[in-house]
Amino acid sequence: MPSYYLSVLIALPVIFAVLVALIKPNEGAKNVHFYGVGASVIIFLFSALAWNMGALPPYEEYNWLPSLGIKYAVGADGLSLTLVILTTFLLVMAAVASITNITKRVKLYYGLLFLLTTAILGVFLARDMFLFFLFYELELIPMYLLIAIWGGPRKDYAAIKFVLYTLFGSVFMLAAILALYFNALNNGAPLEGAFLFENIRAYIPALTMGSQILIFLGLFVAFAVKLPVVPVHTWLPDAHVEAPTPVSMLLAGILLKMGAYGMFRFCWEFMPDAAFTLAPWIAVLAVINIVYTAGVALVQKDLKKLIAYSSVSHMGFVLLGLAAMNPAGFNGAVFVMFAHGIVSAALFMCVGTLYVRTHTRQLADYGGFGSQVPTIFYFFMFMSMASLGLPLLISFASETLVFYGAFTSEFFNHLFVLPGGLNFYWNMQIATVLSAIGIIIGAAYLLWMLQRVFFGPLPEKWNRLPDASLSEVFVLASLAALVIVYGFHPQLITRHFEPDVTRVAQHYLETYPQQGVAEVSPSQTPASPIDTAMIRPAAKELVTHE
Amino acid sequence: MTTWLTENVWMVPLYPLAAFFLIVLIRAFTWNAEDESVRKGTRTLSMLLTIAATLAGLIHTVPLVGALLAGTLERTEFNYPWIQAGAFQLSIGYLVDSMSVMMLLVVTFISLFIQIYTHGYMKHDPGYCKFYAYLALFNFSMLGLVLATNLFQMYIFWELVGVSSYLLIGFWFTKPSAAAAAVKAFLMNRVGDFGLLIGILGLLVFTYGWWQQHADQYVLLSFEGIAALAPEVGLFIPVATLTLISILIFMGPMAKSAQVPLHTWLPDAMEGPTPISALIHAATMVAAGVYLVGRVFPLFEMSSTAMAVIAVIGTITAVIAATIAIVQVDIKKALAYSTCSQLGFMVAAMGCGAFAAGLFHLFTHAFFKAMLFLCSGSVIHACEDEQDMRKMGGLFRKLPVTGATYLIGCVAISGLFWTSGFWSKEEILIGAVDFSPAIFWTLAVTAGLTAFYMFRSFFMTFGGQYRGETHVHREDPVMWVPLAVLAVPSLAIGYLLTGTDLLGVHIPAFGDMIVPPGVEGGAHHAAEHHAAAGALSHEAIALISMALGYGGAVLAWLMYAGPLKALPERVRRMASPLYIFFTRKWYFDELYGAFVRRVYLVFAEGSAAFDKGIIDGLVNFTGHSVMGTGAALRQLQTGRAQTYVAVIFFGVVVLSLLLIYWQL
Repeated sequence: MPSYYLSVLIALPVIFAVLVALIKPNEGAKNVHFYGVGASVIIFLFSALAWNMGALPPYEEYNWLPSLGIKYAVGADGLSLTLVILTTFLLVMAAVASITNITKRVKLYYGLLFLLTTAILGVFLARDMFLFFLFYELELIPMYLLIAIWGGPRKDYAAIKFVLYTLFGSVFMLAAILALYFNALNNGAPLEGAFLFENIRAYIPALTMGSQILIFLGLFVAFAVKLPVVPVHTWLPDAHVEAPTPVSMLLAGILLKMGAYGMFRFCWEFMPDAAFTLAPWIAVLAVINIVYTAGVALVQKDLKKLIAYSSVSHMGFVLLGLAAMNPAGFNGAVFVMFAHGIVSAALFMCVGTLYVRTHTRQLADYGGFGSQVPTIFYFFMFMSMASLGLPLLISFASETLVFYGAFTSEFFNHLFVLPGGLNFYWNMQIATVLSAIGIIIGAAYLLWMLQRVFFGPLPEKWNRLPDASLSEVFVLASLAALVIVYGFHPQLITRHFEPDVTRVAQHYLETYPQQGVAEVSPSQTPASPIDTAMIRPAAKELVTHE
Repeated sequence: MTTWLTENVWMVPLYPLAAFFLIVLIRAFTWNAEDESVRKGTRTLSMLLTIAATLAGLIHTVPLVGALLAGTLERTEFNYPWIQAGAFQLSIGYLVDSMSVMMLLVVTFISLFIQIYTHGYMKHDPGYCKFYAYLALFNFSMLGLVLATNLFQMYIFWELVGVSSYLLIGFWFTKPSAAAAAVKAFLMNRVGDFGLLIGILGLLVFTYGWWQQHADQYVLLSFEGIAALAPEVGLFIPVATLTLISILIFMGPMAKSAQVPLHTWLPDAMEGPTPISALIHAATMVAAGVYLVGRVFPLFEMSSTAMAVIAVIGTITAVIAATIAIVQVDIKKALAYSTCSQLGFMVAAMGCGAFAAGLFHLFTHAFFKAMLFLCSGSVIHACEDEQDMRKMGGLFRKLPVTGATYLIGCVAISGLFWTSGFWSKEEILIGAVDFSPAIFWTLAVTAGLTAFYMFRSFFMTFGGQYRGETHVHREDPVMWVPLAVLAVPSLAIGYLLTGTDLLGVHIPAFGDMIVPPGVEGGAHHAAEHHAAAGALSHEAIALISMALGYGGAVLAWLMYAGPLKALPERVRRMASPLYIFFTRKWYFDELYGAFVRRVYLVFAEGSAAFDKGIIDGLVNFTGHSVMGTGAALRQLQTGRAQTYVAVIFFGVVVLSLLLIYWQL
């Protein structure tokens, strides 16, 4: 693999964006779609090279603005590559989905779509914090235009809300990044490459605990907006409702993962001390995210809003896995990112297929579609089953890891003393039980949605709806195939990121004490020097003494 | 040969899975076929694929059963790491032992005949292929559940049988009642699964150290490991917590096996096509709960409170369901409540410690209840989809095979004349008398009620004169042959498995074959204690249960076919509050409806209002006030974006510098 592979990968979509602009102005929309899909397939295949080579693509580093210590540095580990592949794959899906959903200004549309792809790939591959921030902000421009030009009736409101929300978070991120940068410099880091990840990270322990927590919170707020975390989530339902279907697919499938990725990379991997300290509160946010937004989804009247809120609810599982701070929890969180990327993109595609036929998204207008559009019905039902965590489908595997990880996490066990003798414990076990209520509500809103849309008798006005077209079936069947393959055999995907993610978790296990829920009785001594994961401190000592 | 079959037992669930995917593929390509012969070919192929897959499974199973009877079956377990994160690992595999082989036989044998029957029942339905595809999917899930080696794998297939059940209950989804019943079944099972999941996780978190130490012997949460762990589980878990964990795990079986209070989905599930009611909601899936209890039995045994709770819940279910069954007029609903009641017997037996008795009843019940449901399907089919028994009657002459097999089923389920139900119910009562006299007498009286409501339904349907208006069709061989086949085990299998010789071959008693891991056989267990306690003898128990059974049957004859025909109406008037209480099913549905409306939806509506009003309201308020301020300050501004960015940038830089300087 050539040493400039990653740079080419990042640049490739921009090159295609330029090429799309060169297409003759009077070219028919059909041909432009053809070129657009072709280009996205090339991008996907090119990124798949990295996936199949076995070894990681090489790290690249060039001086960019030496006077400020800014470098152009890109590299990849298993986590980054997983998300890169998810991005390029969903790009193909979104491009194919555009055939039926985008009819005006197709050239500009593909140009922006490819620009967006470059920004996202840059976020996942950047190894310099300034570069990361740049790509992170670059993504806003094409996304704003994609919503504002091709969106629904309230597109301006939704687009500006999206941008302002993200900028609000970015201010905190910029402050945090600069604080980390100056911290490194103040502690004797060389100016050259001062913004590099490894450099920034090496000097974090020099910070006091208080400033670590402040910086952690700055980064957390920025990524929380993107994830999103209650209460900074209200941009998402609006953006989804107004965005066209392929943009919704990318928004839910990948953009939310930028928040999740940033959170894992910077907050948890770089700043474990702060993360460990704040974990109880993160767990609170996770529970609120899962249960509260599931409740909100239950009573939505707009189908797309319902799916949007279910996205927010599922992102709570990422938070729960991160709060668990053990290998199962972290791997689960990363796996949820991937699984949700596939499933939510498919669900938004399903919503889109109904919308282009009926031009309504109100659940009250639907009913009895099951007999009229059976192909859409079966795909929609299948994806709903995947979303509510049906075993042997992809979400189940990921959420299982999160649940098992969170429940076996014993890092904190707080006793809250409230006035009036109302004391209660707060630990991961309680958080998991509360979150598990989310899987009941999750089943409820999806099944009731299916019942209202597809079951019952068909209203007279809908008896001329055509069933799914070939391009729609292609998108849904491709996503369904992944849902089944990775659901049956999750190791096909987890093996790519598992070593890197587990390494981060090992640091927590080795550094911080665990307060056992149940103490192993003294007579129990470990028989063999097994992996340190989740062994209680007493047992670990014994192992090391041997 | 047996070794090869044992080691490749994973193929048994994969046959129907392959059939399922093949049917889906075939359908995908013949979806819009105009040609009649193509459509007919697709239908035939779907049927043949599904039946062939089940038949292959049955052929695979029979030698294993032979080995079990001959005592040469070797316990075999294989595990494959399904997912891992660091040292944490969850596995999937297969487990061949007496319990799983018994269940394999039940599932493949009954499935086969129900699938043949389905051809007659669903012949004219447009969803014929889809029905066979779903049947294959269900078979895959159920067989996977049976072969599970650990609790986690059990949970996987547990949910998959649940979704198959959802799909099949809602098979006629254009009917709103069927759609509602499907959603209800799924959600109620989700509540049970929630408990099961938390219970599994609870067990795991307390005993994780033990599993780590024994990682090379047992995979995480394996049943074998649980049996080995159970005797020393007190070292890790306080008894009160163990009781809680056991009851949480038991919530899964409560929902799946329709135990009070999570039982209300089962009668509603009768909205599905009748072959489904026979296969899933009578013979196999609902018994999965009892099977799970059997698998984790050693753990449950460690908490006497948990065992008592299980016994009491089973008994209460048996009683409540029986009382509702005696006032039902819908033939399928009556059978559904009867299933519920019989499942209560099995669960009660488990709770009483009569492990083998519970599984024995599961085994015999599967045959005669599947047959009874197929009979009801035959009746409904003949009467053009009429299910109300008040509009039937006198059908014996028109449907002789159905009538005869239904009668056999009634005799078997009531435990009369040494039919299979007699032996298994006897074992349960023996187990119960040892555990608690109160439970024994309640179950014995319920057995009498069973005979009453079953014979009531028989006489209402087949006795007297025909009261309906529609023309009664004749029986179709494809439908009555499966009935006749199932009648044989319904009559004989109980006696065969009490330790008899058949054609010179000795067949060991059921209780000797099915021994829970780590503990001695449940039946013997009970018998020994019983001798010491000096309570009722086996003969006395047999007499009591037979007397109550015959009494119930004779009473049903008197009231619904004999000289006391006016009695039901008079009883109804005399005991009208009680009658209404039973017909309203003890008001469980009303209670849950109120809960969903008052709590669930109020929470959801409240959240949505909060989200829209408070959170988004604040956001919009901020936006508007900024815009207002901006308008006022417009004069100060240049309108150049660069200036804004510069201001923001330097503001942030200054802020960060201050933070660093103060060493926050």
